[in-house]
Amino acid sequence: MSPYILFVMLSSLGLGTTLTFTSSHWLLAWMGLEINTLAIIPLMTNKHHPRAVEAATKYFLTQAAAAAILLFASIYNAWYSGQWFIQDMSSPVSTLMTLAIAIKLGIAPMHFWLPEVMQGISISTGLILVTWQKLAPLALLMQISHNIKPELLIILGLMSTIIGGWGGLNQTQIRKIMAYSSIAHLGWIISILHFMPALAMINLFIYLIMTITMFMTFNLLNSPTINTLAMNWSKSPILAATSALALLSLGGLPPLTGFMPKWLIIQELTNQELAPTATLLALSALLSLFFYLRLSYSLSLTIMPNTHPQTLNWNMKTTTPLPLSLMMMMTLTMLPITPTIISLF
Amino acid sequence: MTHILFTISTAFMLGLTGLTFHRTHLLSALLCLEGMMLSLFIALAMWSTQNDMMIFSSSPLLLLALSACEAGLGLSLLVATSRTHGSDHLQNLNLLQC
Amino acid sequence: MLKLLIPTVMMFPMIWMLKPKWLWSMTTTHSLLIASYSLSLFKYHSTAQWSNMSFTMATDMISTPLIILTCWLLPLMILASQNHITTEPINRQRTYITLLTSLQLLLIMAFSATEIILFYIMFEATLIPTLIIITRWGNQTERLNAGTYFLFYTLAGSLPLLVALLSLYKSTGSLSMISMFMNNSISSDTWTNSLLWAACLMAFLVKMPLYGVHLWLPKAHVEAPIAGSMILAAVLLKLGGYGMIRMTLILEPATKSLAYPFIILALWGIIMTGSICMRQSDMKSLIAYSSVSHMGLVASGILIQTTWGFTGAIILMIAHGLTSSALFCLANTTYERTNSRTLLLARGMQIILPLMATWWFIMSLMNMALPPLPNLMGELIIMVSLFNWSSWTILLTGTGTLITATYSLYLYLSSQRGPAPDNILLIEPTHTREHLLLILHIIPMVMLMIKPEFIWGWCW
Repeated sequence: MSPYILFVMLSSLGLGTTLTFTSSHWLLAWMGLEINTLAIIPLMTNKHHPRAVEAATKYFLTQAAAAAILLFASIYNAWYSGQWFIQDMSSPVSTLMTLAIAIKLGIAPMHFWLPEVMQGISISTGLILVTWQKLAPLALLMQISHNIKPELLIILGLMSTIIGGWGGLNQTQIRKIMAYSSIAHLGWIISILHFMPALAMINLFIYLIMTITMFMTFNLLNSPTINTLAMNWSKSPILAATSALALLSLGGLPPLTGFMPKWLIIQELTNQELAPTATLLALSALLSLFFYLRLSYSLSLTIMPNTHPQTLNWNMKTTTPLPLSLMMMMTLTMLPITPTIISLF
Repeated sequence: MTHILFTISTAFMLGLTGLTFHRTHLLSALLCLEGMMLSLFIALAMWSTQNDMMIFSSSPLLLLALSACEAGLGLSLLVATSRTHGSDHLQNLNLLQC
Repeated sequence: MLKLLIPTVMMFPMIWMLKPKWLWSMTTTHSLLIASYSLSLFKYHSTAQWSNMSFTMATDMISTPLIILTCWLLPLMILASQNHITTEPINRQRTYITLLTSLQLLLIMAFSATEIILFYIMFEATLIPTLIIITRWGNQTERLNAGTYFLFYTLAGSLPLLVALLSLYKSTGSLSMISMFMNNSISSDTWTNSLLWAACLMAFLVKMPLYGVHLWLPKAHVEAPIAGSMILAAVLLKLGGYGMIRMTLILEPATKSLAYPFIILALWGIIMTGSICMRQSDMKSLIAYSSVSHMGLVASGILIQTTWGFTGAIILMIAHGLTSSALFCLANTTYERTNSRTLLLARGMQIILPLMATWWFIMSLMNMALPPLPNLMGELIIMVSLFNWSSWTILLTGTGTLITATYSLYLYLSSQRGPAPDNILLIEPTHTREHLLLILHIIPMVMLMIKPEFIWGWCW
C-alpha cells in the first residue's frame, strides 16, 4: 500500500474514533463508527489473498449491520423522547443499543465473527482490531451505562468470560486464541460497567497494555501457531522468558499486572452484594488461564533437548524494540502501583 | 406507536431478517443492508419534518452519504470476493472457520 | 523485616554478575548468611504477640519458625541442585538460582504479612516460580501435566478465597491479622456463612493438601527437580497450614460445627495415603504421599481449634519440613546414580554406599517419629489434643502411626538392605556435598530437640 493511502486510512481511522469520543449526538457518533469501519477495511485487505478478503467481508457485514441497528435504536429513542443526547437514553431502547454495541465489540453471544476475522488478517492489523476498534463502541457503552439494566450487562459479561475461555481451549492458532482472550477480557470490562465505569476504564487500560505487548511479541517472533512458538527461545531468549510471564499476566495471576483489574472488579462486585457472580467470573478466568498456560509452555517452558526440526527465519530481528520492552515492563510489574493507577482514573 | 414509526420499524426489521436468515448471495445481503439504511433515511426525514426541526433537515442527507459510501465499500468487497472465491455465494466464505 | 528482604533482593544482582566459577559457592554462602541472620527473629522484642513490626509486616511465634525454615532451605536447595544444573548453560543456571531466590523472597513476605490480602497475593505469587521450576527443569514430559494440575488445583481453591476475603473486608472493614481475632463475624446459621467459611479454608486445604484434593501433590513432586520437591514439601505446603492457623481465628463460632467433614477427611486421609505409600513403587511418590498423610494430621490439629492443636501443628510442620526435604534429597542422590526413581531397581544400596544408608536410616526414623525427635513431639501433641476432642480418633491416628512406621521401614529396607543387584554396581561414590546437605538437614532437628520452645507457637 502506498504510504499516502496508508496515511489517509490511518488518519481517518483515528478521525472516526475521535468523532465518536467527542460527540454527544447519536448521529455524529454513528458517523464516527461508520468512518471507522470504512477506514479499516482497506487496511484489512492490504495483502490481497482470499482469507483477508473473507475476513474483511465478514467484518464489514457485522459492523454495518450493528451500526444500522445502533442508528435505528437512536432514531427510535429520538422519536419517543425528542432528543439525541447520548447520555439520556430511555431504558427499553438502551437494551437494543447495548446489543448493537455488543455486536460491534464482539461480546459473547454475538462474538462469532471476531476469531474468524482475526484469523484472516495480519498480526498488526489484528492489534488494531482488538485495541483501537474497541474504543469507540466502549466509549458509547460507557456513556449510556447508567441507563442499562445491570442484569443485562452482567449476563453478557459472564457469557463473554466463559465463552471466551471455553472457545480458546481448542485453538492452535495464536490469532484465534488472542481473539478469544479479547472476548474474555471484554466480559470483565462490561460486567463492571454499570457499577463503576472508572474501574472499567482501568481494566480497559490494563487490557490494552497487555494485549499490545502480546501482539508486538507475536509480531516480532513471527509465529502464527502454537507449534512455531517452540522455536523462539533460541531467537530471543529473554523475550521468550518474559513473554511467558506476560501471558500469565494476561491470565491474571498475582503478582503480575493482570491481577489488578481482576482484584478490583471482584472487590466492587462483592461490595454490590454480587459475590456469587464474582466467584463465577473469577473461576471462568481459569478457563482462559489454561490456554495462556499452554502458550507459555510451548513458548518458553519446554525446550527441546535435541535440535528442533523447524528452520529459523533468515531475516529474524534479534534486537527487541524499545516500545516492546517498555510495554513488557508495564505488563509485568504494575501491581504494586495500584493506588497510583486508581487515582489516575 | 405511530403508523409511520410502525411502518419504518417493520421495513427495518424486514431488512434485518433478510440479512440474518437469507444467506445465499453476498449481493442480497448488501441489498438488505441498503434497505435497512433507506428505512432509516426515511425515519430520519420523517422525524425532522414531523417535529419541525429544520436544523435536522440535513441529517438524512448525511446519513445517505455515509450509507452510499458503505454500499460502495460493500460492492467493492463483492468484487474482491468474487475474484478470490469464484462466486458471491456466502457459503463459500469458509476459509477461516476452525 | 527489611533486614531479611534486602539481602535476599541483593542476591539477584549478585547471581547475574558473578563469574561463572564463583556462582554456586557465592550464592550458597550468601544464602547461608541470610539464614544465620534470620535466626535473630527468634528474639521477640515485645511481650505482646507481634514483634519486628512495620507497616504491613510483623513476625510472631507462628510465623518466625516458618520464615527461618524458608531461609534455611535456600542454601540447601542450591547445594542439592548443584550436580544436575551445572551441566546446563550458565544463563540457565543463573535463571534457576534466581527462581529459587525469588521463591524465598515471596515466602518471607507471605509469612511476615499482617494484611491478609498481602498474604494472599504472596501465596499466589509463589505459584509462578514453582510452576516454572517444575515445568522447565522437570525431567519427563509428564511435567507439563503436573504443572497444570498444580496451578489449577491451587487457583480453583484460592479464587473463592479472594471473593470471601473481600466480602469479609466489606463487612468488617479491616483484614489485618493483628486485629482480626476481634471480629468473629461468621456463625454457621446461614448457608451464606457456611459457604464463606468453606471458601476461607478451601484454598489452604487444597494447598495442604487435604485428602481428596491432594492429587496435584504427588504429580508435582514426582516431576519436579530436586529443589522444587524440597521447597514444595518443606515450605509451600506449610503455607496452607499457616494460612489455616491465621484464618480460623476469625471463623471462630462456625468452625465448631462445620469442621467435622474436613477433620474426618483429614484423619481418613492419614490412613488412606499411608496405605497408598505401602504399595508405592516410586520413591518420590512414596515420600509425597507420606507428606499428604502428615499434613492430614496437621490439618486436623488446626481444625479442632485448641492451643495444643495449633502447637502440635506448627511443630509437626517444621519437623516434617526438614524431614521430607531430607528424604527428597536422599531420593535424589539415588536418582542421580541409578537414573530411576523406582524402588525395585535400587536395592541393597547399603553395601555400595554405607554412609548414605546411615542417612537413610536416620531419615526414615525421623519420618516415623522416633522418640526424641520433634516429629514425635508434634504428632503426640496433635494426637493427644485429638483424643481430648473425641476419644475415637485414637483409632485412626494410632493406625496412622503404625502405617507410617510400616512404610518408613519399607522405604528403608527395600532401598538399602538385601543383596545389591548387578545393574547398580558401577555407581559413583557419594560426594561431601551430599553429606553436608544431609547434615545441614539434621542439625536443626537436633537443635530443636534440645530447645523445642522455638517451635511451640503460642505455647511459648
